[in-house]
Amino acid sequence: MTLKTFLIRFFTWWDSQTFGTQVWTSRYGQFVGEDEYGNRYYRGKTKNDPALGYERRWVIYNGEVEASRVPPSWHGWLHGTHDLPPTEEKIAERAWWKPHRPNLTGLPGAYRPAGSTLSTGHRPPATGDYKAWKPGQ
Amino acid sequence: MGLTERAPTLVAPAPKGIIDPSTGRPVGADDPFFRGINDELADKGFIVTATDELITWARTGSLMWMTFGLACCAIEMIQMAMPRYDCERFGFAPRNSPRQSDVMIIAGTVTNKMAPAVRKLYDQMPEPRYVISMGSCANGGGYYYYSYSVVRGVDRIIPVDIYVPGCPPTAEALLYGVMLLQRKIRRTGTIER
Repeated sequence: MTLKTFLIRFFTWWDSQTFGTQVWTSRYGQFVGEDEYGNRYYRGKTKNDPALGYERRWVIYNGEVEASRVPPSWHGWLHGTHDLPPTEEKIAERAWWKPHRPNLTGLPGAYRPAGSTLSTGHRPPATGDYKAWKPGQ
Repeated sequence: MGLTERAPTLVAPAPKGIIDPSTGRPVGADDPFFRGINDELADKGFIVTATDELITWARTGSLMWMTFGLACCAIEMIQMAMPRYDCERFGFAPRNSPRQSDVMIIAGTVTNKMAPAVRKLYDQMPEPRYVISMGSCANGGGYYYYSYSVVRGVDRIIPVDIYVPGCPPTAEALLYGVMLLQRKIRRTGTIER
């Protein structure tokens, strides 16, 4: 580990796991599996976490820490919807599953709804399905 | 909004500084020559970081947000600040005065009566200031779009950086919006105030 990566991991949390998370994971975490993007999933060694009252499950991202990078197959297990992870219970792939696309908020490709003043800079004229009220009428 | 019929609609201003629109970062930040030198020096033991990156790092880690609950979304905003989601671990701490805060969370319906107060509070905040619009009502009127007394989206009175959809958004969604705001600051932040 070079000095640069050490400093980045020491002072930031969005590029990879922090040192605190790494220590916690090595002490209390039990490795469960890895998804197609390289994210690694863990669960607590104790069945019921003393603070939560149920099993603690977490993910160590491979790269940028971004919640939308969890694929749908692992999402259900990570959020407690399924009891078993996809490594133990095969989850049927749905036709509506889409590959991950990063969140484009704040970038030129961000979603703008139709009629948004942010995309064109001017407000489109009203469609005339209502009549504006004027004071005194 | 009969009072401001002639005024043009407020549009969020373009980010200041020289930003490359294709990458969203300052021009030259992705230059391979510059990056190669940066990596080489870093491996030799020198710490090389652009000053504006250091400043944006410090800024993302000390965002003071104004506690400003307008409606039911405020409950989820409070939940985000409470120990379960604990936004303070991301350096996002509540502050009760607009003059010392950086972020304003518009949590809920903005009525016409409240709009001048919201605008005044926004004007009191020092630069750089950011706005998170939380929930359908603040994003675009939402459920009350056809009401006679509601501003149809808070972006009609102040520029908004992050829109968090939902009615109300969960505390998780709001926290994700906060992280996206921090990412935006890291990408587009400049030294100038």
